[in-house]
Amino acid sequence: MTAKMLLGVGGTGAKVVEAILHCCGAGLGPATLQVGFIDQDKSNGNVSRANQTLTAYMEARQNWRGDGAHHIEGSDLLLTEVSTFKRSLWTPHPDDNSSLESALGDLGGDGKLFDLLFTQEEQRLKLDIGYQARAHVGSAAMTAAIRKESDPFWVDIVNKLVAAGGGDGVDLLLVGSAFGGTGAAGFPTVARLLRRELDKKGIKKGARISGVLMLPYFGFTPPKRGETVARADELLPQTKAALRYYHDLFEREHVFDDAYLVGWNSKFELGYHNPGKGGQINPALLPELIAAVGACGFFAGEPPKQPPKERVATRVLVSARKEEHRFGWGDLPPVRDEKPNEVYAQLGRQIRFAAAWKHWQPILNRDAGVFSGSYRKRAWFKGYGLDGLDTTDAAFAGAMASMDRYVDQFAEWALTIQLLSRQSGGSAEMAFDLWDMNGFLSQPSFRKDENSPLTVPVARTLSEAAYASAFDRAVGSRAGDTPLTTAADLMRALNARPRSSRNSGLGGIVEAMHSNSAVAAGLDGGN
Amino acid sequence: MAVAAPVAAFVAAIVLMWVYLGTWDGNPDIISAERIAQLQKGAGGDAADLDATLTLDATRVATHFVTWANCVLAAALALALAWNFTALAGERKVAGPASQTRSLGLWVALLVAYLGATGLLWWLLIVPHDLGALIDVPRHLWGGAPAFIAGLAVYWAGTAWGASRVMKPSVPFASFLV
Repeated sequence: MTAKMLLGVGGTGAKVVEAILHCCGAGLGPATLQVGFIDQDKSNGNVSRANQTLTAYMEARQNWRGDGAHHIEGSDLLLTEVSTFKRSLWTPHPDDNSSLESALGDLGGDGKLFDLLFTQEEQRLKLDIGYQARAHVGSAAMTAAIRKESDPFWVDIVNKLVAAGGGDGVDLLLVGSAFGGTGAAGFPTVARLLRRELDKKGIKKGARISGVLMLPYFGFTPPKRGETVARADELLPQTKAALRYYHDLFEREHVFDDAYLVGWNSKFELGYHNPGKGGQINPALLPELIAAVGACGFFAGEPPKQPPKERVATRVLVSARKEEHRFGWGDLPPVRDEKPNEVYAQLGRQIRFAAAWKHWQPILNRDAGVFSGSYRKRAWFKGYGLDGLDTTDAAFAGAMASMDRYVDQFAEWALTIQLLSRQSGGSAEMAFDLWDMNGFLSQPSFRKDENSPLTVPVARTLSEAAYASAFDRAVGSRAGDTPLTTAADLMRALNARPRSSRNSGLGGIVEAMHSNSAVAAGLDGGN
Repeated sequence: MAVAAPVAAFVAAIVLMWVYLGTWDGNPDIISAERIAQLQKGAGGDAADLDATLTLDATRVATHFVTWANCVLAAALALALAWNFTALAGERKVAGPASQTRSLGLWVALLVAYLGATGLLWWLLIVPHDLGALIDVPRHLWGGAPAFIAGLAVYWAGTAWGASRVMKPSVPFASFLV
């Protein structure tokens, strides 16, 4: 089986990885996926959040699709087996006082060239909060780090890449931005160095390296005068120069097999600015979902059939929406061309499942005040064997908590995308026609503060009425389709006799909740 | 099941009632001692006349009780069907376990309606016919109570069996049938 690897480079790359993980949770990803992050700013908030999502995903999958007491079988929920490299995050220069000068060390006679290429300020720029929109600084520093790197993360990646490339094949995807610091610096640098490692071993046929390159799609408040950080008005010129560079690179060198470019013609205004570290935690945005779906398409694709010599240069894939002021399911690229409805089916079901979980979780957990003793006689309770479960053991608690964390992360991510998409249509508000998760809000009148980071108040649990409304409204049926099933239909299905006996523990009822959250029968979801 | 269950319960109950009340038809043993004494006095010792009159009295009593039983069971059937259809419609609003008992209130209301209907039917079908002159009070009970209980059984079983698995918790003790 072809190995699938994913590297998120920089904060934006981490956000795309977060989106890919959510697509994997919905069943759009490959069977297995190894994930890693590269960021010079080791406490970057975007990377931290993506790492939290990664941890939540892996824990939930371990609890629900492993060999434990609560096992789900025959479902796309948490389908992809995600693992990390030896470490999930690689920081090229982990020392807080490191600078380009210290990273390169004694340059001897090359010192004058160094002075010619980099200003004194750039040479001594502290790298603890990343490369601060200085991609050329980052590129030099990262190359230096990789060249003398004996870091287990890097060695592990190279070894796995080479082993898989020489065996059943490997698909490696890098995601990063064309703007900013770490992403802009690391995206081409890491790709080229990895390609060279493969070339050194003579591996040309079994390895695909592709990249998702994010063009500027969000804006932020200008930083204070004198701060050496990324500025919104510098992003476009930087990107223009970067695209020229990539154009030349694609013409000259076989680094990427496919390149996915994702941008937005009217930027999402974040309304605030944090230069780096934990404060740089930007909300999930719609272009990241587009990139994630494209990434899933890359992992679902077949390895190239032509020998490398006959292949054309990098294939560039571009996605665009049909209408400027509206974004619907048809605007997301398909993961598989032969399944045009797959993204709608899988993500739609996941969103509805999240609503169902938020109502059923305290009931399955038998929380006081929610769970009634009379439930023990109900058809769903008996049918799914819940009476025989030990609710006091660690496996039960672990399974419930891990799924809860995963669903919370997913709901917050999807809700954030929805809430921030309306303001991105340029002069007019954009109609966001993917999902409506307002029913998940713990404060129904919630409005984003224009000048501060968005913290979406997702309800911990949903009452029956709130759940029914959230479930029924979350995803609409597509034109020509039959109306979607409702929360009441799900209730009926749970009370019917279970279909599969391959699940165990809580797996049966959770699998039934997930499968009966489907947006329509006969669409392209499912295996 | 919403129709089949109450109808099956109704048919079973009505057959039982017919068999039971069939034992009353023309059976002089159900006639009260007072009525027999009164007839003996009036008949002047003609045993054949006495037997014929007692047989006719018993048939008359049985006929009224059969009519009453039929009506009581029919009322129970109608109420069970009404509950089943209402619960079926209400099921569309049940999204979680808490509201699986949402039709319990209606079930109790219809039970009360059944109690009222049996009282009304007694007053309409039994009381006006002065059956007290023919049978004693315990015999009234032996005629009325089985039909009343059979009607209760039709209502309970018809709703407990007829309710969908979602709405079954709205019927008291229906979980015994799941």
